[in-house]
Amino acid sequence: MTEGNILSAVAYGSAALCVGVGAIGAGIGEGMAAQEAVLGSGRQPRASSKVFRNMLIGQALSESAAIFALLVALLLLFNNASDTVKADELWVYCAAYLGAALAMGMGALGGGVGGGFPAAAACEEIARNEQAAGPISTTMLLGAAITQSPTVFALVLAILLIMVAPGAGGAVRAASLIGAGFAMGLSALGSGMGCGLPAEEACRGTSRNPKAGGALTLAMLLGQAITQNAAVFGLVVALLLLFTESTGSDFVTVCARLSAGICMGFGGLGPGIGAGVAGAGGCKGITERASEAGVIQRVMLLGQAVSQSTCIYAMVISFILIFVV
Amino acid sequence: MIEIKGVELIRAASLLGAGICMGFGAIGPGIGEGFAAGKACEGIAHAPEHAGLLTRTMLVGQAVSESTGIYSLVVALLLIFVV
Repeated sequence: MTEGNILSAVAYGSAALCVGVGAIGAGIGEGMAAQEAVLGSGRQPRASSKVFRNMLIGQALSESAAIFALLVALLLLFNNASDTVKADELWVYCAAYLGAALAMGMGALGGGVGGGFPAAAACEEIARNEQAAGPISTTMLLGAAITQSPTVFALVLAILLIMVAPGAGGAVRAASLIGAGFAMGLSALGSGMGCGLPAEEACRGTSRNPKAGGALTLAMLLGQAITQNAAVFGLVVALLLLFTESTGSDFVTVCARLSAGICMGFGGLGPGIGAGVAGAGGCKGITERASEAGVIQRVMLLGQAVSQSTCIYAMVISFILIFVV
Repeated sequence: MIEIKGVELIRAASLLGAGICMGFGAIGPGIGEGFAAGKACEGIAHAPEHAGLLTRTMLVGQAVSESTGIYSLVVALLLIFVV
């Protein structure tokens, strides 16, 4: 068995992992949108054309996460280095491909499910309140588009891992690349799902309390921005793992690098979802009482900041594991 | 193959443990504190005159729910620097 054969096998397995995991999210998210569209059209057949159009737009946004995963899988299938790889590069290449699959697969899972929340809420509300179809669709587009940005971070990292990162190196380099995949993938999973929740409530609110529109959009954007924090931290740790000095094959350092990635990944997962839940509560409150939007928004931001604290702890531990150990 | 000594194995396992500890430990408080914040916002919408009380209660609740996150941080630091 040559190096090329081994790398081909790893690249094909990684491609399957990437698009297999990545497609789960879009499948669930689009299914939720379709469910609400079917229910809404059944209740209110007159609104069905608007509901149908909105469903397709929402599903297209949610689908984009799965398309990113497909793109990375195609890169792994047809653009892998199995023809040119040398013996001393083999394991770094294998690790880079596996890391790219982890980052993109889990990132797409989050973005797909997250994009489904606003799409489903918008379909339901348009069936209920046909006149507000325009503003509801706009809110959904904005919210679902921002929900995709953790997935875009994951795509950027996956392409960096496939195209730029590999080369000759030892076990420490290989562990760093797999760790980067964990850090980005899991934190993007949390942020992606979390970002969908404020967007969902903002879509409901746009329909139920049209006067709250401006304050609601602002709260949604702020809530989503804080929710993205977890994915940004994940990206920072992943880039550090990629671009810091990593030579040799010292077993302790190998474990430290892997551990840094796992720590930031799972550490971003919970706060990402939690900040999203808080953002959704803020949007719900503003829908109910738009006159108190300022106070509600401040409390939402405060609560989100506190829920991000464990994410910051995880980042600190990751930094220690990368730089101090 | 890399030769691994017993001391190295212990050190490596404790570093890996630190990452797993802080990573998984961050999930619970992160999600839980989000629920507290979300419900506080809804509560203020119901009763804006009690905004101060609700915010205080939210922060105290979040601080309690944060405690397991801090335990994880402490254990992770112990695993890195003491063990």
